[in-house]
Amino acid sequence: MTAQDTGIGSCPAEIIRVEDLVHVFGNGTRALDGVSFSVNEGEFILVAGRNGSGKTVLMQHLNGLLRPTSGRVFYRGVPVERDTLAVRRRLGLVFQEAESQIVGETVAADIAFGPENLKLSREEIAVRVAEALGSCGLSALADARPSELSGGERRRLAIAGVLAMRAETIVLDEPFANLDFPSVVMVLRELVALKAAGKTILVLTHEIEKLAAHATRIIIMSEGRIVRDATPEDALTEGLEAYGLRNPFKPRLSLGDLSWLT
Amino acid sequence: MAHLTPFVYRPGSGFLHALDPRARFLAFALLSAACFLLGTIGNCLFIAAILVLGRLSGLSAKDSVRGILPLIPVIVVVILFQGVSIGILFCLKLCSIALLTALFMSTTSVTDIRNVVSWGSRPFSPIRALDLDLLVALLFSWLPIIFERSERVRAAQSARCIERRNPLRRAAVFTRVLLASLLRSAGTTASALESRAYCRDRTLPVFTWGLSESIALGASLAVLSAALVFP
Repeated sequence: MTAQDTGIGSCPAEIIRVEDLVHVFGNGTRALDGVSFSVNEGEFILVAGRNGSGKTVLMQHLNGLLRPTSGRVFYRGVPVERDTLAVRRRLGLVFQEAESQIVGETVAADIAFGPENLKLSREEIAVRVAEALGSCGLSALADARPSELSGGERRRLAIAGVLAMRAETIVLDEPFANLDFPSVVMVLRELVALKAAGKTILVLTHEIEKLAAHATRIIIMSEGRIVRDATPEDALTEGLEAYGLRNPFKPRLSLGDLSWLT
Repeated sequence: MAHLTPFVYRPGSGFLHALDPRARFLAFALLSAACFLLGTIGNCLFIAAILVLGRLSGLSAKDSVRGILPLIPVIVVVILFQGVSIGILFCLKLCSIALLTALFMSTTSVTDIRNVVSWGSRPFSPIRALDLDLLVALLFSWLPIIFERSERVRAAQSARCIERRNPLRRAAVFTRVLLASLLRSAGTTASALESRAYCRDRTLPVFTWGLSESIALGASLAVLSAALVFP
């Protein structure tokens, strides 16, 4: 899909630009308080922060699910609110609660939901579904009911639903929540493969240690603000605990060091 | 749990699976009506035909018969109160309907049902038909979530000895917690639908009515006609 197809202007490097974004809820809570950053094509960004730091609200602004109180979000140089449908074709969201975003009776039917919304031909939909099933390792489960899938498989199904729309940017909210170790590895492998395929990825999580090795950049949020925005080496320094995060570089030389209380 | 009941869709490539779902719906409606009209011999033949059709569609007779088992107490009561001859006829009609429904449900996916419901309501209101389509999809995808969530809430409340409270209080607490949890998830579902570019101007299902559909419909009409003429 070209920029002309979607009506979105083309800018070679910068894909997302957030300018002084503020979001205040009806009860007066300031969820986002002057957030500004930009994302370039092919970046793998880890957005970290404690619960309630504003990560999920930020995600919902990126494809126009929420309207800002003030500030703006641009996708490829064009304000998101100008053509939200065009942005949603290119920027896919994977929500924390994967089961709630599944609408299909079978795995294949759920993946087809997005392409059907794009009004593609049945042939094109079949091709995209097969591709997404293959790239997420779900081909053998095409006819399975989503409710029968494991947590990791459901998360990969949600990713496959986004891939079938040929999204170039994928934003995932807490992709490792409630997953056991094998499922975490499964999802992590998927994310690394997407990065290798040239997708732009933003992962919103408080579990830094699971992704820090693969991220090209880390943004740390606290109380609706960005408090750090740097490479992993520069972002993961002293003082992370103040933002509700555990420093993954903390030396662990004995069993006692494994305690999360020290 | 799905494998325990014959009334759920089983993916397959048999000739019934391949039929246009509209033909399957129409045939099911016509054959259901025929079941009620047929007599003892007619219903015996009907049951045999359904079992053969099921076999041709890759479904085992054992699976189909499992659908009849829950009806046995009803059949026993009818035989006790209505006598053997009426009881047997009632039993045959009930078995015919149960087997026909099992055959229909195991070869018809929710997507098929959605597509036919949407297609059937399109002449009346094209926009509502698409909403109806989504409604059916959400209904079926949410049922497992509701059951799972109910079980989780019930277990969590049992663990905190809620059984010691009176039943009304228990029901109120259970409903409040379950609803709050479901409403939160419903918000996520709505956001997810939007983020996947949900719109009414979507790809419509494709139906293909060919020779096999015409034969299936013709055969169903013939069975109904026979039931009307020779009950």
